[in-house]
Amino acid sequence: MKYTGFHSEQRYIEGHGVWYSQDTLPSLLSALALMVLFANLVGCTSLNVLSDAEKSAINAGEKTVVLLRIECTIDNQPYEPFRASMWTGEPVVALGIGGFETVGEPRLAAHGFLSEDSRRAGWTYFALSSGVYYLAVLGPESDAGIKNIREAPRWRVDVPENTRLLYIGTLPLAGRADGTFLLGGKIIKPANNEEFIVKNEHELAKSLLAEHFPGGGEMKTSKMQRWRQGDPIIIRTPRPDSGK
Amino acid sequence: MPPCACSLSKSKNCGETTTKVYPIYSRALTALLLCILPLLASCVMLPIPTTESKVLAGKPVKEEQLSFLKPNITTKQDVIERLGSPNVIWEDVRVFAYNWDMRQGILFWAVGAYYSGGMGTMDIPKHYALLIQFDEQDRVQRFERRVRPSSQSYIDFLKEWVKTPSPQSPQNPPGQGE
Repeated sequence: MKYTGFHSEQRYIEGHGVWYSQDTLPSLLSALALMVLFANLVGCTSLNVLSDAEKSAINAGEKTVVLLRIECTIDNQPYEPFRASMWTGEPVVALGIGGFETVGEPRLAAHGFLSEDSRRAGWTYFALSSGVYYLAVLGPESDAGIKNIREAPRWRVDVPENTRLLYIGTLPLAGRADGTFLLGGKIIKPANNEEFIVKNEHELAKSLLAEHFPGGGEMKTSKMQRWRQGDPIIIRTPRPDSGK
Repeated sequence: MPPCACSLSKSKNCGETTTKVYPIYSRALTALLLCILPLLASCVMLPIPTTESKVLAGKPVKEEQLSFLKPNITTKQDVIERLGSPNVIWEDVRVFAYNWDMRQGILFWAVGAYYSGGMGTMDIPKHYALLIQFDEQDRVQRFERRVRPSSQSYIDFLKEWVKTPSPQSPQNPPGQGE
């Protein structure tokens, strides 16, 4: 017997070939709603912070906190380059990292934030072992998260050995609002970012890292260098303990 | 009755053979086929080999351009002056890599599904690399012009070459690969 009416005792789910009783369907919907709510709460309140494994690797000198800042402006007004989570919207800036295994070719990479305030200001970090890396920065753009990171402008980052805290510079990125989405929110397009000038905010970076890594030792500053198509990709064999 | 719309069968009855004609519901069959056809999806890929005359990426280094490379004599600076900056520098093992891709064929593809489909062509690349390793005095130690299989990642290709020295013999001294 096949019921399709809303008030029927059973309902046939098209394509699944499964009958659900009238009691089952609301339960499933409730569970789904709870899951979405839970995911939203978790997503909204969590920052991508250092894991215990990363912390111990940093303390052991196997990894370095590589700090940078994206100073994002939209129509000459400060704008958050990173969202707290995927639930609160698309990031307008996406970052990728390429290293030894990818021969410099950047891949979308997870990066962390030291605090909520620092995230809003555009500070972010990577936990990397010593070596040469290529940082790709895409944006500011509404669909930065889905664009091909390999086509983004790149910078070379040298992470020296025996360094726990490293600041690689502040990158100003300008964008412009180009209309609004159907459900609200600005459509952001990049402004002319032909000349990227990496700024040095050494003192700000130093105080931020000192706050979060009081025993991290002295912070080094080594500004990232612009890499252009045609420049050689430099790679260095990772240390054997770098994968720990 | 036309043969396509009926089937013939023979049956024996009391030693006699009689022929009966059963009509097949041709309209129903046709309708069934028409219903099934749109559900079929298929894909055709046809590789067509070509001569390696088209450069897809990079700057090719020909065999005759390598005559200046002399192990233990040619310096890193000489290499840069003659061949330009390499694409990849593997610092700690002192390797330079020059990469280029040649077209070795064209892949014709066609995809059909339901009521729509698409077709096109794409180039099939052959990945070449000139690999040069220097000694601690920045002089050429060995070199080789190699083809990287498409299935192999670039870093694995480099690692393999660094680990496996070129065969050395009077007929095929280091650096005279391919």
